[in-house]
Amino acid sequence: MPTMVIDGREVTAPPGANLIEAAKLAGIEIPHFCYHPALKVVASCRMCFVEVTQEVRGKATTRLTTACNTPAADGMVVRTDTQPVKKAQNDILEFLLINHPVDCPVCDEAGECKLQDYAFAYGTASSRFAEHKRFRHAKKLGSGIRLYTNRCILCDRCVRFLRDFVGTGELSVTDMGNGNEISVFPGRPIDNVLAGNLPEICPVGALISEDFLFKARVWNLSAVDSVCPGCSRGCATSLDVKDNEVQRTRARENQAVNGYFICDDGRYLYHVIRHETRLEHPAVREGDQLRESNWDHALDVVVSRLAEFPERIVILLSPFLTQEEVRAGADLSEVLRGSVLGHVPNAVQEAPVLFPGGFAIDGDKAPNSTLVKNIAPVPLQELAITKDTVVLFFNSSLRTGSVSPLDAEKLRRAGFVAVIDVLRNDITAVADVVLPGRMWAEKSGTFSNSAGMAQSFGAAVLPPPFTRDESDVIRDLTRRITTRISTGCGAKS
Amino acid sequence: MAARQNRMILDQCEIPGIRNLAVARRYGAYTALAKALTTMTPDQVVEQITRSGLQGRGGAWFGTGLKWSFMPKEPRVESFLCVNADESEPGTCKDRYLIEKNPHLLLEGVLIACYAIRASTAFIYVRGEMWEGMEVLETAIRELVTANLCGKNILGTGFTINVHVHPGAGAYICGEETALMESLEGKRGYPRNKPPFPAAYGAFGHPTTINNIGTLGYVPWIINHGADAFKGIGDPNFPGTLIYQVSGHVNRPGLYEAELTVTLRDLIDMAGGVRSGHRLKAVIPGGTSMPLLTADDLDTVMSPASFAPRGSLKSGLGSAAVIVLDDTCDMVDVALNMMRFYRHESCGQCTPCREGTKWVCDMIERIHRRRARPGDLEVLEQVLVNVGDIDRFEFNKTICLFGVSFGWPLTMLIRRFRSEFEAAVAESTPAPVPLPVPASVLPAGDLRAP
Ligand SMILES: Cc1cc2nc3c(=O)[nH]c(=O)nc-3n(C[C@H](O)[C@H](O)[C@H](O)COP(=O)(O)O)c2cc1C
Ligand code: SF4
Ligand code: SF4
Ligand code: SF4
Ligand code: FES
Repeated sequence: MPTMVIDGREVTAPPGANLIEAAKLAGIEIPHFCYHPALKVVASCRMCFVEVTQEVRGKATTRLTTACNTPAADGMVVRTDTQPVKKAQNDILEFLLINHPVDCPVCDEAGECKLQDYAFAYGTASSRFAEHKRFRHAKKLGSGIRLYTNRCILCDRCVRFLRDFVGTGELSVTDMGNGNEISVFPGRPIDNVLAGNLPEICPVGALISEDFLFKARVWNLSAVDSVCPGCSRGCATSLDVKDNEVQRTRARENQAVNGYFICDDGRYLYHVIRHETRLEHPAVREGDQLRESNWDHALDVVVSRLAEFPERIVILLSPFLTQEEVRAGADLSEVLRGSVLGHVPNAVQEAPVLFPGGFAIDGDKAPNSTLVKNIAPVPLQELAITKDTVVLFFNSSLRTGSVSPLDAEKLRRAGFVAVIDVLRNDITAVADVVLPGRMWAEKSGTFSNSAGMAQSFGAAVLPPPFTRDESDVIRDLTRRITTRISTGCGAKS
Repeated sequence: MAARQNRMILDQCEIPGIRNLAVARRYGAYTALAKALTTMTPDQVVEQITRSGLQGRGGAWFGTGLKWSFMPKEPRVESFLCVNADESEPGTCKDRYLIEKNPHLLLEGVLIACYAIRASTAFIYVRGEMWEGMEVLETAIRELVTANLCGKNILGTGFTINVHVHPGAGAYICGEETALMESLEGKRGYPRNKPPFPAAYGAFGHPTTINNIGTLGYVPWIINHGADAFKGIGDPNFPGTLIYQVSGHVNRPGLYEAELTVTLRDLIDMAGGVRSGHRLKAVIPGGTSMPLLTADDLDTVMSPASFAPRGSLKSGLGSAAVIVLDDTCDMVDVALNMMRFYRHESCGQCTPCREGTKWVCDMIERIHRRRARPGDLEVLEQVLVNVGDIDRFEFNKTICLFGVSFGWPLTMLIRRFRSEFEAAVAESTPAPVPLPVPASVLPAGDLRAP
C-alpha cells in the first residue's frame, strides 16, 4: 500500500487509488469535473492539478500533474495548495466560464453545481472575456432529460456513462474543437432505464431532469436517507423534500448495493405517494357499498369478526411491508391462537437486468420478499380459503397488479376480508374493511433485500392525516383483541 | 562556402519509373529487407538502427532504435506498427512527395521496422486528402504481395507481414500519435493521456510503435550500408540528411535535402533567396507550431542541436518546414492566419485548448479588424501562457502538445513583433463589450427535439 505525503499529512492509500481518492482519505478535496469513480478516467477537464515531487532517475523533480490519472505511489510528496496549483485551478475555471451563460438564477443545478462551488472556492469574481459567447439551443434528449447546451462544460461524463456503464451509448460528442457539443443521433433519443442518473452525473446544470425542472431551489430541500422500495435490490436513495412533498429522488452511494446510481423506475416511484388512487380514509362495507368510516368503527368491525371466528382467521402479509411490520404481523398471529399466517407473493416480476458497469436491477418488484417468505413461508395459494374464512391482509402495495389474478380470485372466496393498503386496487374494491396505511416515505423501517441485507430508512414526509402506520394498526388490533380476551368476550379458552 | 545538398533520398525519387517494383528492384530496393530477414535477428536490426543515431523525422526527434527497443521481445498479444503519414503541419510536404514518388523505399522501411519490432501488421495512416498517395501505396503493396515481399511467408523465410493503408479522417490532430491510434480504432481523434505509452498500450490496446513514414525511408540505407556509415553523414549527433521544405517568399520554393549542419542562410540560398526587392522579415523553422525566428537568426544551424529546450531561440526544428516571410507580411495577419488554423483543428477534448483557441482567435480577429480595446494585448499574452507556457514547460496544462503548438509560436510572434500589435491596438476603435448570451431557458417550442 503506497504511503505518501499530501499537504504535510501522511496518507496510505489502497493500491491503484489515484491522487483524488488518496487526498480524500486525508480529508483534502481536490476539485475535479471529469473524474467520476464509476467511470473510465479521461483526464480532460484539467481541473484537478496538483504539484507532485517525486524521484525521477535519482533526482527529485516537481511538476504539475492531473491528480485523477496519477496513481498514488510510495514516497510521493503532493501539494494541493501551492501558488502554481492555485493559478492552474483559476486558469481552468476562467476557461470554463468564458462560454458559460452563468444563468445560475434560473438553473436547477445552482446550489449543488461543481462549477459554481469551484468558482467560489478557486476562481475569480470578474471575467476578462469580452468576446461573444458561444450560443447553443437547449435540446430534449429523450427519457425526460434535457440538455441546456450552453451550460455544458464538455467533461464527457455523460458520454462515458451511457457508452461504458449503461452500454447503450446514445450520447456522443459531435462537431470539433470549440464547436464540440453533446448530441444524440437524429431519431435515436436516450432510451434506457438508467437515464435519470444523468442530471446527477453532470457536474453542472447542463443535463436537467424534466421531472424536477423548475420545481425547487435545492437549498430549500431537506434530504432524508431512504431505501428504494422499487425492487428487491434495495438501492440507497435520498428523498429530497420541500413543503412536505418529495420533490425528487437521488441516488445515495452504497458500494455494497447500488454504487452511485439508481434506476429510473425507483427514481420516479415517489410519484405514487400523492397518487390520485391513494387511500386516505378507512372504509367499511355496507351491502355492496364501501362507506367512508373512522378508525375506531372500522377496527371494531374487524375485531368483532376476528372474535366471532377465531379458528378461521388467516393473516396475510405482503412483501411491501417493512421488516418491523412483518414481525408485528407474525406476533399478531401468535396472539390470535388458531389463526394461520401466510404471505401473498408479489406478482410484478420482470427479467432482472445487469449493466456492463455492474449495476443490477432485480426482477422482483417488491422490497421485502426475502424476509416475508422467511417469516410467513406459506403462500396464499397453499392456504384453504372458504366463505367462512376471515382474512386480515396487510398489503400496502406500491404496485398495481402485485396481487396475482389467482390470488385475488382466492381472496374473493373469503367470507370477510379486511385489508390495509395504500392505493385503491382490485382487493380494496371487494374488501369488507379497507384501512389506509402509509408508504415508505412516510414512516421509518427496514427492508431486507434479495441478498438478505437489512437496510433502514427514515420518514421523509408527513402522511395524509387519516392514514395510520401499519405497525400501529397491528398494535391497536392486538390491544383491542386482548381487551376482549381479558373481558372474556368471545375469546378462545 | 555555401553548403550543398546531400540528396541520398531525393535523388532516388527522381529515377523514372521508380514507383514500379521492377524498376525499384533494379536500383536495389528490397535488398536490405532480404538482408535483414535472412542474416539478422530482429534485435540486431534494432541495434543497428540505434547505433546509426537515426532520429524520428515526425517532429519530436526521438531516437528510432530506442523507440523500437521498448517493444516487447516476447509479445503476449500481436504487436503493431503504425506509420504516420498524416502530414498536416502547415508548410510540411515531404511525406506526400516521398509517397507519391518512391513508395517502395518507404515500404521497405516499413517491412524492416515490422521485422525489428516483431509486428506482423503495419497500418499506414495516410492523410485523408492524399488520394494519389494512397493509390500509389496500395498499388505498390499489391506488387509486393505478388512478388512475395509482403504477406505470408516473405521470401520463404516464414515471416508474415501485412501492410494496410488507412485513410485519415481529415483532421490535423490525427497526426498526433495517440490520436492517430484512436482514429485508427474508429473513434474520435482524441489524443490520449500518457502514460500508458504506445509500446505498452497502443492501437487496439496492443503494443505499438508509431513512426513517421519519412523516418522509415532511411532504414533500408542503414541496413545496406551499416550504422557507422550513416553516423558519418553530417553531424554525428544528428546524423543523416533531412528534407527541408522551404516555402513562402523565396524564389524557388521546394524540397531541399541536406545534412543537419546546414544553416538557415544556406537553405534560403538553395531556394534562390528571398524574392527580389524584398527583405527577409521572419522565418518559421519547422511548421507553424514552431516559434518563428527573425532575420538576426540566419546563421542558425538547422538542427535540433540549435534548439535546446531552454535555449535562447525558444523554437524547434519540428518538421523542418521552413516558411520564409518577407517584409510584405503584416504580423497581425500572420497571427490571424495561424490562429484560424488552430481554432479549426483543436480536438476540443481538454479545457485550455478547446476554450483557449476560440478566445485567442477572437481577440486576434478583433485586433486585426482594428476593434481592439486597451489592455487586449496583455490579456492575449496571458491567455496564451495559460494554454502553453513557453517559459515553464513543467506547467503545461493540456493533454497533448497541440496546446503549446499554438501557445508557444503566438507568444513568440507577439514578443518578437510586439510593436506591430501595439500599433494595431492603438489604431483601433474599441468594440463594444457584447451583451450576455440570452438565458439558456427557452420556451418549450424552441427546444429542438432530437
Ligand atoms: C499536434 C501534433 C501533430 C502531429 N502531426 C504529425 C504528422 O502529421 N506527421 C507525423 O509524422 N508526426 C506528427 N506528429 C508527431 C507524432 O506525434 C509522433 O511524434 C511521430 O509520428 C513519431 O514518429 P517519429 O519518431 O518517426 O518522428 C504530431 C504531433 C503533434 C503533437
Ligand atoms: S451550471 Fe452551475 S454555474 Fe452554470 S448556471 Fe447552472 S448553477 Fe450556475
Ligand atoms: S452534459 Fe454535463 S456531463 Fe455531459 S459533458 Fe456536458 S457537463 Fe459533462
Ligand atoms: S491540447 Fe487540444 S488537441 Fe490536444 S487533447 Fe487538448 S484539446 Fe485536444
Ligand atoms: S478531474 Fe482530472 S482532469 Fe478532469
